[in-house]
Amino acid sequence: MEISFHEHKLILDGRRALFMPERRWLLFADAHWGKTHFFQKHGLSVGHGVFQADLKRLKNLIDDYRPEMVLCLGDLIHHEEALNHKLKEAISEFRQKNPVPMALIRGNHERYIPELPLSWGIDIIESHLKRDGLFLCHEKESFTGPQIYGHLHPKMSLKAQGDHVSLPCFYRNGDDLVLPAFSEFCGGVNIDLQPQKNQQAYLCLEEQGIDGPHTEVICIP
Amino acid sequence: MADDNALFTQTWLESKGWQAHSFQKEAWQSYDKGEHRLIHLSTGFGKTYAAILRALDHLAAQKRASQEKRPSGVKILYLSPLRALGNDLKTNIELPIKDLNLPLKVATRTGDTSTTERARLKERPPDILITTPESLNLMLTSDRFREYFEHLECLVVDEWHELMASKRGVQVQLALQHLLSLAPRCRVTGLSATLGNPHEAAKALVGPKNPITVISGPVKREFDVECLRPDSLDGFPWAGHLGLIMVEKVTELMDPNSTTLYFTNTRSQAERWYSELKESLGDEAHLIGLHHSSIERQAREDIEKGLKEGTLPYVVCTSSLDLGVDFPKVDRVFQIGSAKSISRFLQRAGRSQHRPGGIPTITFVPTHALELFEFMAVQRAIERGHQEKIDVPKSCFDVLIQHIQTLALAEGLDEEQAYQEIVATTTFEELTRDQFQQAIEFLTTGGCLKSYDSYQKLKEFKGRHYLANKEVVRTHRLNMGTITSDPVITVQYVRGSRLGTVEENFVSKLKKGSVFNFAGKTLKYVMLKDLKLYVKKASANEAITPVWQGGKLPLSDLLTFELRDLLEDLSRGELKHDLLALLAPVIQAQERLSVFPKKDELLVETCETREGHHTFLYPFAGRLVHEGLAALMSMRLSKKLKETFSFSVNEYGLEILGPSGLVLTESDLRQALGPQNLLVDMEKSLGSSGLAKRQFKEIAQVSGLVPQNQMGKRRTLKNLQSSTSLLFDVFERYEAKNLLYQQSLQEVKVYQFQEERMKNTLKRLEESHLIYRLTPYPGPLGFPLVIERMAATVSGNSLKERIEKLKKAYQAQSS
Repeated sequence: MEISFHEHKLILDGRRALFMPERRWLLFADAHWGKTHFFQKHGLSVGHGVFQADLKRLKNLIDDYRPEMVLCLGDLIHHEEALNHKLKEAISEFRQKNPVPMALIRGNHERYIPELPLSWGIDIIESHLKRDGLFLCHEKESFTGPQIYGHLHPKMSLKAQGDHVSLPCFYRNGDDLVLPAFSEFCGGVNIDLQPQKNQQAYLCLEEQGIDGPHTEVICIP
Repeated sequence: MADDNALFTQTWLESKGWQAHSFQKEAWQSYDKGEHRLIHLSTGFGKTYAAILRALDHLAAQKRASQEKRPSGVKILYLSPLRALGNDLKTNIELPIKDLNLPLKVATRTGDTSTTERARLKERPPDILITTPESLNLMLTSDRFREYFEHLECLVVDEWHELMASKRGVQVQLALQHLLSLAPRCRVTGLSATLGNPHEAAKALVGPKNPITVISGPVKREFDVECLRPDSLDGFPWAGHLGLIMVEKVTELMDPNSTTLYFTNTRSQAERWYSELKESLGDEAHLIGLHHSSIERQAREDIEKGLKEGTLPYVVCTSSLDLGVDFPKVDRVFQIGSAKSISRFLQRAGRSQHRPGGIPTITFVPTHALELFEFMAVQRAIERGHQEKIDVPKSCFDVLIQHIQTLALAEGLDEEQAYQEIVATTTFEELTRDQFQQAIEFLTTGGCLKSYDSYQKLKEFKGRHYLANKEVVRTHRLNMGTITSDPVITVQYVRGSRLGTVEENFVSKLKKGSVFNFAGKTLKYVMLKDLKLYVKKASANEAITPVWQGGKLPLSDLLTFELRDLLEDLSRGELKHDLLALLAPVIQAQERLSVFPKKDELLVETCETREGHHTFLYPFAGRLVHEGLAALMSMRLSKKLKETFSFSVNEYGLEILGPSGLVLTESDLRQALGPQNLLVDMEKSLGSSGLAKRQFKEIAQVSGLVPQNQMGKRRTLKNLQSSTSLLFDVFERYEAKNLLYQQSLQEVKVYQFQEERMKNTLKRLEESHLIYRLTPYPGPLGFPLVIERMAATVSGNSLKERIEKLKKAYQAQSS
């Protein structure tokens, strides 16, 4: 879905990522790579299936948009202990196959990670970027001006007539835009939408079709 | 072996002026023969002494003969499900020991025992140890458990009727087989309240291969069962569960000279009743106490002490007082709302007049009109001597993998020996070697290799399995047990004492300054810090009461049967009961709109309201079965009609709510209940209705997938948290073969869905004559279902269609 954000065109993709067509940048946040590795290390039996699905979704996004840069707005890695050789290998392989320039804005989950493995070719940006009047950061900062960030894992739940659906969403709050968590293995915070205060939610909807998953963005209200 | 002259303890019992009962003598003889036995009887007849007096004789004789000074391990192990009970048991057991000056030491070890005391007990094992299943399991992980228990002679499992149906009971079964293989001479004694199936209960205790004798105590007791009647049913609710309308009637009967227990079904109901009754007492408010499992232990013990000494005449409680020591001073018991099972009703009745010869008196307090029918059904069942059977859980994978880790921790797990012990239990009787191997595999590699490269809980070393590393060891020790709960927050005063615990869920609904009722007090939220909610005393009229999850017991299968039987008689006009006059307005209202179904009839009522089109079915099969039926029907209907349905259930029936104007025809319903593709459809409805997700929560906690306790590792813990519901979604999508996920589906089928009960019900319904009534509004049977909160939704629409609908509803609401 294409929206206009402070006179910039932005494309919100139901695969939980954002594309800036003017710069050809692909943005996503809160991928929490290595969460399953970290769980397993601590004896919790969760397989890597969900992690692999996340990677595949990122690859499809890269293939579809052909971005000049991929930028993660923080919390790319779940925990410093998750950075074991299995994860390092898996990502190195992914980067070899998808050699697009990539950078990370440091999030709170990366605060004890001095740098990422060299073979990944992912630069760390310490605090934020400012491009075309937009601040790109991990969580809300005290800048004056429109901000795009992640961290919150926004979700929205809709209820009526006995039916109930809860989905991750992009959350437009006045001047700011919050990205949904990219990883499927992430909980979320339900937002209490107040449309009268210039707030909107863009729900990321994914359904299995005959020819694979089909995604869509639906704007509320 | 002691000879017949050595019956010190029986002589002692008689010297106290207590006549030894014949079942006690029977139990002692059976002990002499070296048998395992299950003693079942109504409470209040000295079963503790039946279990251990002979063992004391043997033990004392041995000790005297051997002259040995060094303690050589525990000889009598007494397992009680309640840690609070330890001290009372200790006093009881020490009584003959002191009087007869026997050279025996008694000790208790529970979760409350201090670390120094534990260390002392580890060094010098007592002759007699009283403990809980959880503490026993912890002891099994100790490096010295072998020398500690290898001379065990007598193992007593108290309150087996309460344990056997639960995963705690499964844990006891496993520990028991482990102890038996360590100490083959050990005799097992199970103690239980009266049961519908004592022989099965006995088998469940010692496993299918060990012979066991069943000893019945005096069972038939007279009960004084009565019902507190509202003056009229005008204005008496058709639904609800609090029953506060009856407070005045109950207060009229309060008498400070007799001790009374008020049993409620939930903690929040107890809180409400306590505050109402307390208010009615005015200046004498100190005469009433509140007892439930979320109240601080010290406060609970004070209440129990007051009951024992007779200084506290009124106590409002929940199932927290179902078990445990006898309170001889209790004269009268009130049961507020349905007790849900005949056994529980009788057990609670038995809490009154606990001295031998006293006639238990129980007064039922209805909370809504339909419960009066239930009361009549209970009363008839008691007259007919009917009681529930208790079933043992089958193949609990989560408890199994916990047990495997326990064995691996102590001295390494030997596969062959562990397997033999495990299949000796009733729960795992049918576990194949392959399945056992799968469980080991699951802990070693995660089961499906590729996706589990960072996972390992067990390691093999010289043919035995050990826990992989220190962290696994610590996490396992901290998270053992099968009692699960939602995260809890401690409630305490800003300066000083703790009051108890509430669920995180409840606290999240509060704000600073919110006023709420808890532990019988009105409190104000001051601050939330480090999982502690700091409060101040407050006074307010509008305070909310916390609601705790769980604890919603379903109506027993037997009681549903009795209820259908009663309704049959009612609809034939053959029911005689003096409550019928009172119930006349409800009966007439139902008969005006519709009918009361006979046993071979299925009543269907439909009506249209602003919410949509309601279809009510009344199989009278209990909440769990109705939940399963409703999920199945909604799934089938939504698929066929491409619509979204939601459903709600109660003990008597179920409601399916669809869009306005969508009338479900008789043939729609027949198809939705039909036998075609039943198994496949049941499986599907598990997933689509979200029922399996709820069950998964418990399994995830017991198996350690969601650690409950990781002391001292705050940040790590935080990063290991994931909601069980998220995990469930991830498994459903990416790892449907995960064994824990599979178990949750299995458990929902067996326990939640009650597969067997459901199949029986479906068969019954198939043969039933369908009575279809269009009503202008919901009647006395339907109304409670309308106000019940919706249980779940099943949709035949695509997600997008649903969201478009929800979006419209949202827009309509907010504009």
